[in-house]
Amino acid sequence: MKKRLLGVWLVVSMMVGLAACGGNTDQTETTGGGSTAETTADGSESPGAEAEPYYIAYAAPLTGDYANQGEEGYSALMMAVDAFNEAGGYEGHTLVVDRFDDKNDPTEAANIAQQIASDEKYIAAIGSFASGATMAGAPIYEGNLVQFSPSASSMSIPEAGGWTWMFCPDAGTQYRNWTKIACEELGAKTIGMIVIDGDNGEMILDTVTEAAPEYGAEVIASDKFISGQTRDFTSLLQKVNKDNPDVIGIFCSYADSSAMIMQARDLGITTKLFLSPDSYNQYLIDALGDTDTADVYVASMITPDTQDEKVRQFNEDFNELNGYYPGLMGAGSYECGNMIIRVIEDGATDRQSFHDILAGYTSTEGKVFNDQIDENRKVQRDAFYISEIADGEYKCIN
Amino acid sequence: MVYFMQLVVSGLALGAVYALTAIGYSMVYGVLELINFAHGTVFMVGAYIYFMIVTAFPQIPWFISFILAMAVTGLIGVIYERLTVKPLRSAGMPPFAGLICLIGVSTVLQQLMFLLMGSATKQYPLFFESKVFRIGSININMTQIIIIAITAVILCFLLFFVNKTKLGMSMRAVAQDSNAAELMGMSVNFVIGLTFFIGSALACLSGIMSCMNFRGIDISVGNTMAIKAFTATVLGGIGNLWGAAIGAFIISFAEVMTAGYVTSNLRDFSAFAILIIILLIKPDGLFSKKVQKKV
Repeated sequence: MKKRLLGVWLVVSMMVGLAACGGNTDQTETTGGGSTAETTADGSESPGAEAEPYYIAYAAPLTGDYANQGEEGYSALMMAVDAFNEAGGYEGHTLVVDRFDDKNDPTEAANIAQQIASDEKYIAAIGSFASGATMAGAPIYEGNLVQFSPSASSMSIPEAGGWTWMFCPDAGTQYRNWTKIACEELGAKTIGMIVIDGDNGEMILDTVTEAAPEYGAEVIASDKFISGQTRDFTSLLQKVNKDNPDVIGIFCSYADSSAMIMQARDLGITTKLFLSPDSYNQYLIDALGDTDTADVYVASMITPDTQDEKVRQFNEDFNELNGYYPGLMGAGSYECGNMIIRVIEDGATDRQSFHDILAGYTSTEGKVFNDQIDENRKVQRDAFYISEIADGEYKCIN
Repeated sequence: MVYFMQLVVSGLALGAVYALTAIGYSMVYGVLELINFAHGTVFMVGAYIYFMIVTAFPQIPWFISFILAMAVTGLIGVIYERLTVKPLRSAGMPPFAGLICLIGVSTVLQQLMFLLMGSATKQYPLFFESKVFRIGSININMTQIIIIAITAVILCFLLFFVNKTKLGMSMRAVAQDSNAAELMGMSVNFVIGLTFFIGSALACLSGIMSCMNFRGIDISVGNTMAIKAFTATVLGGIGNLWGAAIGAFIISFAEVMTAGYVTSNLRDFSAFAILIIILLIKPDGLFSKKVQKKV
């Protein structure tokens, strides 16, 4: 009897452990919806509803290492959705956003894409944060549902699915711009590079190596690392810094780049460190704490410290709501939301008409950026900033 | 040569962190013949407990915060042992039942910390000023010196404790034959609880040192540490504290030299390749002792 009870206890503790892992495809929340067509908890419309809302699926990491990015994107998206709904929507139709947590994992993203694509209520999907998860969903959405990618930058995304629109300049454009800024603003003649092992890292290495000679520079050292494998970057930093490059480029997320910055300074490495746009967010500043950030620079495609009024206004509005300035995921998600609204206002009533109207656009006419859209459904954007970190804030220097 | 010595310093600091964690693994296995899959998560939990104490009560002296964090983490170790492993052991369940339970414990603890602390990486507080010292042409920073020093002191204390004290002797007796130890009047449950306490406290200390060395903390810090520490334990000979420490330094130097002279993304490959080679030659680990067990 005792053994049986213990066996039951064992099974229960396993189930508690599995349940604690959290659902991966559960809808965590349904938000949005104006008074004319609000969806109640049981899915029915409230009394007096006049028009069915349009449903958008938002798939991003909401748990795990990149949860902050997913939440940032969601918050920015809801700025656009709430403004639209508060203005009465379009012909009585408001927007409702359903969130899905893909944990930035391609397998999860594919499962979620399947779930979203097969649910006829969604008129568009936004997601994911990174290229791997985005490309996992792209073939599933193709021919079925338009997918907006707010921040993924892999150059392979257009090939992954013909119904995916990229709202972030691709990596090739970004890293050519990075090289230009490193050479012209930081005076780099020799560059060391630290990238994440994988296709994206290879592409970054190739892009910068090819672009550097155009600006009179060369890449003299590089190394790759596997993100999440270790927190000890001392050997990596020592290797890349061995021949004293003018600038060390760090191309990874803020969690790893913040550790590299601190460990580099602890090792006595005083070389200029220039981070990629992946690291540009408030979390980097928080993670650095009181670290001396002299000669640490971060590239970005958005900054609050700019002359561009639209970019500055979006930054201030987001900061007022959330207490920090957004990065690319926030700006991208906001623009994706505004694009969805534009397509609806131009007459989209179902998935096919949504796709056809969107395919006819050649520019975004966004509330933050006014980008051209090329034949591969990618935005073209030249804006590229370099900021230093001072007094707990980013200060744009170009 | 300067470059090589610089890597040696990195290897020593990294090895010290691995050693503290590996010893905790080794102690639990030695007593229970159970691989503690929750150890890596306890490493993370302990580091966060210190972080919370220092953030909430910055006026508390650092060594008090250390002791408090280690004590609390040790207690957590005892609690989950009492709630999960002990009942299964008492009921005579096979060892894999305890293994599965500990995987569940690890997941639950990790999710709890996620709910409490979120996913963002935070800067880890230092209790000293971060300085870089120059010895000849070699840079060594204060963090590395402190980690190596504290690890050396703790290692010496543990070896003294295990080999020269009554409690230590009890632990060795239970590790050798728990039934005989019980017959000799030792409280096996107390000894096992103590082992989990010490192991968890060591994981906490290792977590604190590691996060100070790498300058950041988030809920994933314990993930790879668990694998590395387990590898070090196996390499040195499971149940042998000295072996666990030496195994840890072998792993750390393999990683650091590979990262420094070849490429960083092969650091794990080199560490595990060495493990495989050594186990092919000496399957029980470098410093294992064959103990005859009566059938």
